[in-house]
Amino acid sequence: MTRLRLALLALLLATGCVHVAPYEREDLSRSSMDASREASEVGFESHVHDAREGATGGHGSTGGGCGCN
Amino acid sequence: MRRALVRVERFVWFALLLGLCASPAWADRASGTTTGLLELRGDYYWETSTRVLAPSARLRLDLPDGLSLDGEYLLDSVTSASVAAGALTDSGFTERRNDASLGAAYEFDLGQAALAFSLHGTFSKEPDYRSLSGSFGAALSLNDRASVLRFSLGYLHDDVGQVFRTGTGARPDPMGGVAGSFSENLEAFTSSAGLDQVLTPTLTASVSYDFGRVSGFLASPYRRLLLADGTRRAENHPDLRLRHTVSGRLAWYVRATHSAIHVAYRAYVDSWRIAAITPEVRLYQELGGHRTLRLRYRYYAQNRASFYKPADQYTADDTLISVDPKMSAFHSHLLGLKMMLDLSFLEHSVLESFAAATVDMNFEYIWNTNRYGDGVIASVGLRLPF
Repeated sequence: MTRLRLALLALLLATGCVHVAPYEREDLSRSSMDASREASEVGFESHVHDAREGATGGHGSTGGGCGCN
Repeated sequence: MRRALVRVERFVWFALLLGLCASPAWADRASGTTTGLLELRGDYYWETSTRVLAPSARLRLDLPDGLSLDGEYLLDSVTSASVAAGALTDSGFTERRNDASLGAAYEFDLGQAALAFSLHGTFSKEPDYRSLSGSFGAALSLNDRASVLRFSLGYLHDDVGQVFRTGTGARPDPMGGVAGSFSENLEAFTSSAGLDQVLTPTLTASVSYDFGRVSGFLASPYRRLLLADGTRRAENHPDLRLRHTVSGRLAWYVRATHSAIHVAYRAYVDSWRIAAITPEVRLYQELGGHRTLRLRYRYYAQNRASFYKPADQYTADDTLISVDPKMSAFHSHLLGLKMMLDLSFLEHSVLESFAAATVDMNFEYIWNTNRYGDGVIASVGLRLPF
């Protein structure tokens, strides 16, 4: 648990090492850079992969949820 | 040394919290405008013995006071002739799964930082399966949203049943029994933590870790194994599975070519001794004329579960039995092509209300080396912000 807390803390502190001002992020606001725009599509594809592969995760799912096992 | 470390840690946590609380006043949300997003999709999956048609609709409302509400409905229409799905004869059957979810999120604006909480619930029902799940999420945005830390916790409870299809109402094997007599449960606890980070004006990175504890009935109520001595055995998997996933993604925008390149990698390991890797590359190319083309390649490889063997190697002494292709060692390649078209050319026309919308068409082919065989994913979608 201590290791987890320290890792979390290190991660938090690391976020302060880089600063890109909002006005510098024009390219990052393009639709092709925004993975969240494809969330619905990813939801279905993840469902297919979960039903056909032994691994899961990386998108909030860890198994169960339907009888497509 | 240890005590000093703990003191330093406490101080840094305190400083961080103080920094958040002392941030400038809350942002003005007095514009009073409700915005939102409507998404309509039609997804399709095909493989040798199964076809899935899944239309879905999703609505999100962003209220001026920082509250977001969303709801989604999905219908899974599965046509299958697979014994693993419950078919008793060679003829196919179709069953439907209704899936509805509701969510709410609220963001506290803390100046250069923001703290968001979300709740999400999903209910899914099909003739032989019922699932109820809920999750809680928190996201802390720092440095004008250049860094976003995410945490989530989830719980899921499934009721697993058994329905005999396209047959006589009784399974033609000694394990069979009668319809309605099978009832099992599955439970899952999930947790995840992640960081999204803007690295440069054209580069972002994301990392996340997911942990899942799944317990209960984790096999299929339909799959059977015929042993060499002629007896039939029901599939029997361990009733506990601990799953760990680490994933990361880099997204880079190339100004010179108006392209975006996303490189992702996922590593997975679980207590059934399955280890898997999933590298993936996506290339988005802006073509002009409101069109963007996406090329996608995904590779997946896993080893076998510790209890999985080819069917002819199981004996009567084996207690754990799997006939599940997902438990075998295999790999797959996925190649996909997607076209996205934004409808901004509809401005100043009678269809101006659709000018902010995008439509997309996607086609993907999967080369798979296990018993499921190759597959196709196809979809069309409409995304309409308002």
